[in-house]
Amino acid sequence: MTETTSGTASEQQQPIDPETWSPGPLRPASTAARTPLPFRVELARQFTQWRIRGLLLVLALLPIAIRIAFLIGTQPDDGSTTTDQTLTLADTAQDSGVLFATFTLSVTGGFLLTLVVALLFGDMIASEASRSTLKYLLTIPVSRGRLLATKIGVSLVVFATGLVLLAGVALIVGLLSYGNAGLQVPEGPQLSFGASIARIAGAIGFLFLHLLWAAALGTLLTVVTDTPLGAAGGVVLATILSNILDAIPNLGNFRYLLPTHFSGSWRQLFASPTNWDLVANSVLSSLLYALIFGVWAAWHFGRKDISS
Amino acid sequence: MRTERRAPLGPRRPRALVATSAAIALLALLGGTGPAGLEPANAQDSSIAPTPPTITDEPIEAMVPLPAGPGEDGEVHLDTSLYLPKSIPAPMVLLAHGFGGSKDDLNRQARTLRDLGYVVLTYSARGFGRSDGKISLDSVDHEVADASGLIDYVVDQGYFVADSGGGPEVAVVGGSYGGALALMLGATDPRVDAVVAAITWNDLESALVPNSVVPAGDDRSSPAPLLDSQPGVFKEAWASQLFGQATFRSDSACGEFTAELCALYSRLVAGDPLSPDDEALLADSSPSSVLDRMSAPTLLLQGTRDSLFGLDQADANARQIAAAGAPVDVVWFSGGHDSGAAASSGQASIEPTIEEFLAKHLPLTHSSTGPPLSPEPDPQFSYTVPGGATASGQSLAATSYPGIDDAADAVTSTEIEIRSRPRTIVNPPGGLPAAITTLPALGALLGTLGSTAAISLPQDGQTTWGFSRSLRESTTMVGSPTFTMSVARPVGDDAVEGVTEQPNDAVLYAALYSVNGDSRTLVGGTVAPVRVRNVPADGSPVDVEVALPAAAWQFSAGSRIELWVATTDALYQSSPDAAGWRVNVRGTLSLPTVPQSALTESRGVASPLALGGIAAVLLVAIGLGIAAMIRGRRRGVAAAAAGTLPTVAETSASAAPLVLTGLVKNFRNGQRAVDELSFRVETGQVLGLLGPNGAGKTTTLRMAVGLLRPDAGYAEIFGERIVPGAAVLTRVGTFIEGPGFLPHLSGRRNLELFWAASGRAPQGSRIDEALAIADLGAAIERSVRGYSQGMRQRLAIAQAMLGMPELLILDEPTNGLDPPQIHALRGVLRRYADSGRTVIVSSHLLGEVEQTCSHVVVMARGRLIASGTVAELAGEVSEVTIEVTDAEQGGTALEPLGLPAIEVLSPTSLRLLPGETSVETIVSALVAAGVGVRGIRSGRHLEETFLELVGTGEQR
Repeated sequence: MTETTSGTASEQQQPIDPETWSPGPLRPASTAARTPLPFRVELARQFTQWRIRGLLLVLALLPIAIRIAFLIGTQPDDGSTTTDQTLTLADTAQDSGVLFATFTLSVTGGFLLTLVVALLFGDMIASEASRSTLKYLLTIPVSRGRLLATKIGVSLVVFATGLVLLAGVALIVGLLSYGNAGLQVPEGPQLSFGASIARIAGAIGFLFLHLLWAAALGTLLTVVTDTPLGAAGGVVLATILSNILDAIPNLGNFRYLLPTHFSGSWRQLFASPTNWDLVANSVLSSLLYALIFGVWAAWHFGRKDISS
Repeated sequence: MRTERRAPLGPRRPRALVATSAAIALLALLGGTGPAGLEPANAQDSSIAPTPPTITDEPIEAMVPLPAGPGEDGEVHLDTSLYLPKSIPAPMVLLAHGFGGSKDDLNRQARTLRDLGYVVLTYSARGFGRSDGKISLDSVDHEVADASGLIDYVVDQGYFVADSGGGPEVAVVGGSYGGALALMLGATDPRVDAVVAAITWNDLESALVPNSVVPAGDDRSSPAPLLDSQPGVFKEAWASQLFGQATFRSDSACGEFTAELCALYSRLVAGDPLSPDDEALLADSSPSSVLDRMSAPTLLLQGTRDSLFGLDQADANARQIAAAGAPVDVVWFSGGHDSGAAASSGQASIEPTIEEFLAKHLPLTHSSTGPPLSPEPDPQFSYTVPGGATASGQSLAATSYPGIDDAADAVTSTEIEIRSRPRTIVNPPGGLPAAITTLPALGALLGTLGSTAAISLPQDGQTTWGFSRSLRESTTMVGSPTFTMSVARPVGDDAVEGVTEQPNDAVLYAALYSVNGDSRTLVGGTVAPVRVRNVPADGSPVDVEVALPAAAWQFSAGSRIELWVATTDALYQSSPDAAGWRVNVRGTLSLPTVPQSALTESRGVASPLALGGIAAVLLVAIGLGIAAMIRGRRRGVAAAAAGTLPTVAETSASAAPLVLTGLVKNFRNGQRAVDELSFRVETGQVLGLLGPNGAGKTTTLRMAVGLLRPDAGYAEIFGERIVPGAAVLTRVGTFIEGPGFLPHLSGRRNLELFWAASGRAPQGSRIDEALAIADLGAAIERSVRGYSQGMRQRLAIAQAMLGMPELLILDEPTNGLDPPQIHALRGVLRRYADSGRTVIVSSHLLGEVEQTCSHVVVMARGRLIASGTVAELAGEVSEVTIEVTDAEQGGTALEPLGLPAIEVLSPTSLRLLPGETSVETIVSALVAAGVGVRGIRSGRHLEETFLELVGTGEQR
């Protein structure tokens, strides 16, 4: 930075009078390299928002709420007759801290996290547009690619933070409440504590990768529409639709194309042996969708007319 | 329908009633509602997609008439579907469904086999689906004869491939009810070349009325010898469930069952023992009666989660088939009648096993589509060991089924010491409440850890137990473990109160648990019923050897084994009489083990395709990212090379702040918002962009800063052509169509973040000056949410002025401002331009532009109407407008003066160019002519020009 700041009225500690104020002579513009919309600035802008803080708060408080629910409720003495493994986990959730964390991930892994992703990514551009701040960001200027990349990066960081927060708080609450016994794989071995933590970390990583498709769809919708709720709702709608189609056996092999088809694969991280094939299929499916939606979103945003 | 029964081939046993109902139950499992092993694989369980059904070639449906039975009148009509492959003739596969099901259950499997190249026939058995007739439970003279008749039906149509003997190549495949049929058809019809029987029975009587007491001297060289001591204990829960499955559609209490079977079931339920006639009836429905005639190679698939047909039934089948001289393969898979609706991957996995077996024994002549033949001899016995407390599940294999070929490979055993003491246990009157260890078909659903978990431990007082030390090393058990317990009648001081008439027989249930920490798992998934006959009345103990349910199980090191003996179990018919027994389980437990030849751990490995796909996607993503970065950098370099990042001195000399060239923008609805617009703004100007609402001013400004893409033409700022995000925009401050802020932040914080977002150093922002101009006072520290429109407007102008950019573009800046603020803003903008910067202001208010701007561009309907200095457009200074009493007369009066121009504007006003003539002369001439002068105005008002220009624009 050059001497742009010297000699201004403010630095001379004189009150500025709009009636006589003059901006002063032009100074040479800085030729220093500039990084528009630095990551930390966008992070700060997002973290000032209550919707982001609220989202993280909910994820952090959820394990505590589950713990309290276990305190209030009594154990049902007859197992209800469903084969869902979630139920199995619910029954054993109080056996150890890692099982509690696993259970917490399992109940949120289905829909809640999809919703979180939908809100985070559907909000990115559309909320700026609806607040009319988008045009000012773009004329600072921030190139559209840079804006989108920073926004996606910040949302990914927030999402990852939320995931880690959820699992971390669940683990701490679980360890304090139920001790540090290892993970009991249903009909399988009991893992050591270290291996259990590795499994949970793996599940977090998997959930993160698996939900990238929803993140990319949210990105696409948020650049297409100017209403944040519309974008988030679109992602939720797509998820529900995909789940419904997945439930129709007549579709046969076509169901493999559905982005949610492999959504149950994260449970493999808590099985023994882990069927890595399902995990890999799920990650591949998610990444493919993320690539398609992401490129589409970048292409669309790059040539979009900003009229809001 | 009554049939005359002939002497069954197998040995007769007393009490046939129990067996019948059990058989019924078994059959139901095979049907669509039961978790039969042949259910389609759950797509989640396998990454390999099942072959999609070909919709074009539908099966040939027919009702085939067949004789009702020996000595019976009439015929039955069986509903059949014939699936023909692309190439005929071909080997034939007869698919038999499970109990309670119909041919519809087999549609998918039939199509899969058809696609492999087989002629496939599915049918609904007697009494099921749309077939008529009564259910005889796979009786040799009825259901089995039907199946033979159906082979004739296909053979008559000539679709078959002849085998070496000239007959057709035929395989029979079935599960549960269909499995027993397959075995019995294979044994009785010499045309059958291969048999696949899944989760089925050998002897109905022992399946329905089992007794786990091992007779003295029993041959235990195979892993799970079938015990047939009678009387046993009626497996009522299963029998009633299966009986119900065949009666639901009829108003008869017996449903579709033959009267004999129905009567047998009724007697069993009433608690009667099986009579010799009953035993004969059940034997007639049991493969055990005919398997000594089996010559076809056979694949036996038995589930490890099966409280209905245990592994002992398959053991007996394998022994009989081997004794008859036919090759037999045995597979214990993870599944069975208790495996529930959630098809385990084990169940899905048996279909490839079946296809492989068929390919080996029923080769397709054009085997291009068939699975490749394995060059090595396949193992003939494979079994799945579920994961233990420390180990993962694994699949193991042995070259032959132990104990059937020669004594050398018979099972060996590991002895475990069990410690206990005698306890008295009580059967409450009525036998309730009963311990629940498994429930028919639901076993897997009940336990938290699958079917093998204890669901409810026996009640106190109804149970005794013994346990081992912690195991030093891990032990894999394959088969049925045995132990000896002593049972005595409590007499004297030990006598149980409330027991008035102690029954002669002690009925007890033995269970084996694997205990690891707090987790207790029921090994084998079910209990062993024990009926100890004639316990001495004097209190002396009877020792009985008990065989526990067979399983493949790994006891891990450090775990314990517990033996439980209880007086009740919900799976079995409860005993109504109150009783007490003194039981001691102290002794040794024999765990059978078999030699292993091969070991494959069932680890899921990601397919190379999926991993390659992931790598490819990541590579493409990285490639795109790099490409985008390079493009961005190139643009930056090009801009720098073109001198678009120059110093102020250079640019003010060389390039105009804003040049628009032929800009065109169409709205989506086709309306042209901006039409061929070109103008140029020079440094130091305050340019007013003037036009009525909808003239295209805002659209023009949006294009100028790269928010909208022009359909044609281009905008240049300081010589750089504008694209979205062009670097030169750092030198521009904008306020376009309304303010935009983060409403929850203060005005100051908004501006700070805005400046920070530009990536420039904070000290260049001159934020204090900008805020002083906005003049928001203390409100600057409050959140923007509470601002009035005028306050937001001023904050937005301050935001545009951050850093004091060289070009300031303000769209309708005075909206919502009060007159003093407007006045102050005018001064600021003028001084701003005076400092060598440039200001562009758009407005639809003339007065605004006239008072603020030095230059003006007038737009209407997207077109440029006029441009120039405000003075130019306001008209030449010399022009004079005179208000007179009569304009016509005045005009005439002035003609002699020879003025350059005279125009009658209205009846009372004249406009003229005075030229050399002085205004005084003109007025005198008018007055002299008697025309009254009311007023003189020199120059023209911009409003007039504007209206004129806009009017012209609209006419065009």
